[in-house]
Amino acid sequence: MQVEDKLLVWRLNRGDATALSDVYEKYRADLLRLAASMLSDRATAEDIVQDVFVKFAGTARTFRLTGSLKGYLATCVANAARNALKAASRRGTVALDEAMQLVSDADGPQHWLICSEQFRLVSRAMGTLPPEQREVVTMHVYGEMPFRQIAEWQQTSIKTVQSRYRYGLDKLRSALNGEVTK
Amino acid sequence: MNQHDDTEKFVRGASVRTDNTADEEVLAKMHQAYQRSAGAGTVVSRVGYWDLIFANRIARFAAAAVILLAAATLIAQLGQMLSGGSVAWAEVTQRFQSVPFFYASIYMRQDALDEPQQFELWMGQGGYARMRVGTEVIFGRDGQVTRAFDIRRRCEVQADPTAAGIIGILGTSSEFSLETVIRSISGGKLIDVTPSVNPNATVGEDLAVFDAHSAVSPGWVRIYALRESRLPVGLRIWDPAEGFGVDVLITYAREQRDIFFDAEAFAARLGEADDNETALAYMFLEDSGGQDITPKDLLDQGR
Repeated sequence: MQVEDKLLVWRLNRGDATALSDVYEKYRADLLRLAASMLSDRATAEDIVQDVFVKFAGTARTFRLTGSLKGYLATCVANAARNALKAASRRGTVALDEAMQLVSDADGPQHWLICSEQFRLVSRAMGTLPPEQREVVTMHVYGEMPFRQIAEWQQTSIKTVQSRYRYGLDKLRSALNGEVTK
Repeated sequence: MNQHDDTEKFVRGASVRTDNTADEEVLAKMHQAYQRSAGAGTVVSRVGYWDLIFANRIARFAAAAVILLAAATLIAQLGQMLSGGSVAWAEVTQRFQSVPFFYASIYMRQDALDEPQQFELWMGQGGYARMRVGTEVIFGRDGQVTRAFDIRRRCEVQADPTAAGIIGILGTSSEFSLETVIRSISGGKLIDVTPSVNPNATVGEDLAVFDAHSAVSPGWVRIYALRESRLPVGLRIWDPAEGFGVDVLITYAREQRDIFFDAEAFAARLGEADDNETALAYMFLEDSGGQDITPKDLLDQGR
């Protein structure tokens, strides 16, 4: 609810530090799901979400909310995730499929993010999608961003984004069906 | 899975948890960053409320309810203006304090094309408050939410945060002295200033219209007050730059029965299957004539 977010920002503008916890509680899970679904390794996803939260906290006193707070935070996470993927691609370090296994399987007590079995399945299936489809699906489902906003972010048309979403869901369904029947 | 909807539902339902220790570490870093930013001097933590009202849209919304109190406080000033200064401050203060109960219907929209959202607020003596927003009925006292219920799901819920914020701010009404309001409006430069009468906006002689402008934004507040009783009955906040607006209708009546503000009594009745949503939303509310606003026999006839 936008009004709720605006009140949170208002409290932060006023110096009410307890609102930080409310923002954190409200969005940490979705932002982590977003980052972990877009990215290859969980540690990087966790670092990105943490950075986004900490940077937001550092600017919260003067932060002006013009749209959805979740949309803003999700865009920050998506931008950082995209940059991380580009950096990894330049380094040529880890292949995506291989990396998605890291997200799915490396579940230890040292991790901030604790995945359910269902999320592991989804993460593995996400790894089969082309990056632009994965971005659309994750930002729409976990970031709750409308297609119009995603289109602006991807600098493409809304029809293209909707197509990517449909194709993405088709591929996800196939991949998930394959996982379930294993 | 054969449908897009099923796939989306499955993806959406894939949950994650977080490690508590890591949560605390991240939150600690957030608090450190927040504290560090306080030293930057960009925002003073105790700025004037009215500056906030016009500097931030949600502040203006949350403050809409607060302005009800500010407007009530302004009665003193209005009274002096309306009667040529013959009304003493003490008289007006006493008059306001004698108002046992008021009801406010607050309509807020975020921009010019937005559908307004309604908040209903009942304030009684002794710091009691009750609100309805959407399907929620919220009870409060002394600025704290005591209990909140969803009348559609018929269960106790977390209070709508905006409503909780409004109740919280109302509970700190002592901060909204007339002096604070006026000084904040003028950015601290003017102390002896009053909202100015807008003669062009007055059609009937029984209604006075007052405008208060911000020194820091194009937004303004307009207060409609009755000349005879000197009570404010309407209030409008308007920001022409963004189309943000709040309209408030204020009604005064005799005080509601204690049970109207009693969350426990409300909870006890919530589970009764024969109460419809209207009856639950306005449970125990009496109209100004003392009649039950949702009489059970009439509700039964309508079925």
